[in-house]
Amino acid sequence: MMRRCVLPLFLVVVGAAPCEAQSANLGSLDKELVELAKKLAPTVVRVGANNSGVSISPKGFVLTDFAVAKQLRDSGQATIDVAFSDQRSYTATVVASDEATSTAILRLDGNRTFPNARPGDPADLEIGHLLMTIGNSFGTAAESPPAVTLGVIAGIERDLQGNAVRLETSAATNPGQEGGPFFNLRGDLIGLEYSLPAGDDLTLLTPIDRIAAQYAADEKTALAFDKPRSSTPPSSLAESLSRGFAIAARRARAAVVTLVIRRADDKVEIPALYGLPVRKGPITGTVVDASGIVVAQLPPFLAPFESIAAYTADGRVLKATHLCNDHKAGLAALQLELEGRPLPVLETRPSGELDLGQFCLALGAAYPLVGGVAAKDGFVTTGILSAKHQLDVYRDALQTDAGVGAKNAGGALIDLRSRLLGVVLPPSMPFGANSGLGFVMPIEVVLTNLPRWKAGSNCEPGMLGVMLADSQGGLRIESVTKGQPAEAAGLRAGDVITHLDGEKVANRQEFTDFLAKKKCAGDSLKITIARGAEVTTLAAVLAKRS
Amino acid sequence: MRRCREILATCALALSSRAFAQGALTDDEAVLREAEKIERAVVNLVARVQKSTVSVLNYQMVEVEQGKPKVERIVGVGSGFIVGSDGRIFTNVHVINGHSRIEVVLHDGRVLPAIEHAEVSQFDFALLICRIDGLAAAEWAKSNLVQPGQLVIAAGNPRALAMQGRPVVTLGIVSGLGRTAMGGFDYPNAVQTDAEINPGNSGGPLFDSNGRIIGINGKIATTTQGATNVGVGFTIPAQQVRNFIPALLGGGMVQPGYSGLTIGATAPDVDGVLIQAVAPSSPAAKAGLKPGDRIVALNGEKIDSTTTWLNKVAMLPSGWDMSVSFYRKDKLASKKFDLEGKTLPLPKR
Repeated sequence: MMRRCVLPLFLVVVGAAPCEAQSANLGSLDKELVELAKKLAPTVVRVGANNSGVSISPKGFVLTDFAVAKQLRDSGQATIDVAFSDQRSYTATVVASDEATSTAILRLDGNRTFPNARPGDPADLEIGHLLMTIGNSFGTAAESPPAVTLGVIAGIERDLQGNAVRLETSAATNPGQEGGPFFNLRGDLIGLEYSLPAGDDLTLLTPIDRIAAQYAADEKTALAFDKPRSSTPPSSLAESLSRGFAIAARRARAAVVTLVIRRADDKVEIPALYGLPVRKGPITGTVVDASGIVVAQLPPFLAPFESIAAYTADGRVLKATHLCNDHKAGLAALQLELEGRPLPVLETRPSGELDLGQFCLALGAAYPLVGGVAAKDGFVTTGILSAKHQLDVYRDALQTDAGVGAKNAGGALIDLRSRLLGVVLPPSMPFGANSGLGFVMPIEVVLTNLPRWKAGSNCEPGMLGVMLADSQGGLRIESVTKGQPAEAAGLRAGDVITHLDGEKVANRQEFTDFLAKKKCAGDSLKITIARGAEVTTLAAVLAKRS
Repeated sequence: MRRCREILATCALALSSRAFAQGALTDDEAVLREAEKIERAVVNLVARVQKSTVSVLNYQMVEVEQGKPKVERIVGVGSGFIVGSDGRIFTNVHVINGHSRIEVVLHDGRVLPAIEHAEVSQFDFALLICRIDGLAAAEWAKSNLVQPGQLVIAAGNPRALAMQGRPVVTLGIVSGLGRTAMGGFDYPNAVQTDAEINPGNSGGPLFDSNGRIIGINGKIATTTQGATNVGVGFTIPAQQVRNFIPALLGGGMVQPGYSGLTIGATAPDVDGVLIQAVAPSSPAAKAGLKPGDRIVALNGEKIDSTTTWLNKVAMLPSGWDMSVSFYRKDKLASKKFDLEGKTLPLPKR
């Protein structure tokens, strides 16, 4: 005890430095998650061969997918088997079903106090909150326990009154989990699977209070639901992480806008980008500059546009003009008309200050409008920084395992302190959408490109037309392609390139990096070469890379 | 260690009391500080596990132009991890299949030649040797302590994104244990994870939150649209690999233990598994096991399905003994015998 009293004094003198390196014991977090999975698994059931469900009452009521009721009705069967994780199996009948929430309630034929899940507090839903799902996804043999996955509430679809109608989650789900439950990290049931990932949507679920309300009027089912839980948040590590994500997303929400782009003739679509189709609905834009510059994924149509409207988090609708497309990155820049009321710009953090493994959140706003205004919650996925300096486009892309898809492409990658780390690049082949391989243009590269974007010049990858080799003597031109800029500039095989625009380049990597980072087709480039004993500088205009 | 933790805890106290002195710490601020502590721990963990992760390059002689001599090219890439500071590296067999030459890329970008030393073809793991000292070896986790829900980090070279070193890291949890993913290569007893694993992660490590190896990533479930991750990855469990290590150190194609038994399911309400056939003069035949015998335990562990049987048998290399408890008619008996299996030379490259 004595030692404890003395140490703080000592540390105050030393300063706060040791505290910055303070880290939690991940073993404790492991334990919390393992205990939670253990506690929840007994309430999760397999319904028939193809569905999941959850026990919601000690008296033997199970909530599952509407498809179960439909299947029984269509096949004329009266009962279906329901199996718990302890392998105990019961015969069940359908008590009620509701197509709007895509749910059904089953009554189990068994004399036992059933383990059951309790509904959570509906007021406590926020994007970024972690949730756990347990279900019988494919790859799980019939006799093996269900799979546990972790994700966040990625989006909340609300009605005009602001009630949550549907939740979207980044937790992995797969066939077999239809009708499966989702829990918050306090172990409360927050919703039931509505649809598995399809198109631009991740897994959708129906909030539990909405389901309960649907059955409340019916006396057969009114008592099926246990009382909602309104527990005070326990001070657990998992809960801190969950709430931390939500706080970070909430504080940065205003930095992303929902862009609706219209064209009189909407048939002139931009060709599929890097093999993936371009989104047609609203897209996300990230505010990168106080003057109202927004960076977004490429618009779904070619210019000219009939109108571009930016829907802000605070309910404004701003006019926007399209500045340019940057095809190298798959991003576009737009200018918002701020009408004298500036939008908040996030504090930034360049990639040099980032650590691999740190948490990142990929924010988006490409959600359908509600009553003519932007969906208030926005969209978020979370993950860690997986790598830096990736991709040949701009070379320096950050990589994250946070899901990247149509809803947050062009959105903001932020850290726990809501600092802007970069703009999320649209998913591309072969990496795919929401595959765990997401790429982000770091904020310093965004800012480097800003003057060009503001000036409204489109960018396509540029090329010089030389074959290069790293040799003893330096970066040597092996051959010059006929009819390309290098030939016109007077470059020859055997020349050794030493500088580009006065900046030293020593090898092929540095050469391609320079072009990828700083140049577009049509830009001029000064190339300094050594030809024998002679040093000269030649000028070329880069061609479009075919 | 204990003392260190105590110091850190008191440090937090000092900080927060100072903050309170300036005005109450908001709820949000307190939560973010907690979350940042978790983040710091993950960052430290990542820095550590990357050092023992490698990218694996599979070179083969390929015909680039018809009629011209073949040229050696990289035809496949994967991942691996270092388990011995003297250069022992594990990867998947399917990562190095058909190679003429293997190279590994260390986390710092150094490229080193490696040779294949041994493999267990059926179960898709191979031991490479890379002649260099001072590598950062990872330790194995105890498989029996792995539990669904615990945090994991996958590291490796997905889609060739770590060709210059700097392994790519993804975070997830253990989704399930004892999964059976057969076909092509067999993954009995696999660990299932939602940490994002993609083509190129094969052969790479799955680490626990302590930086210990839970297993070797090798297979993923995919959608019909393409080979991208859907949150279901399968990992060869550490314990299975470790059981084979003594045999693997001797080199060659190490065989799983052979008993000569063919097993089938029992009637739904009957415990155990049924012997359907016993190969003549196999270890099981010599021990006196017969078709119709109903096995209820293997090496003291209960057998309740053919899946459990497959999963447990897969843990046993040749030379290990197998002890089975079985019912013949209604009489319980047990037999113990050594599993056979010859180590064959690796194919000439």
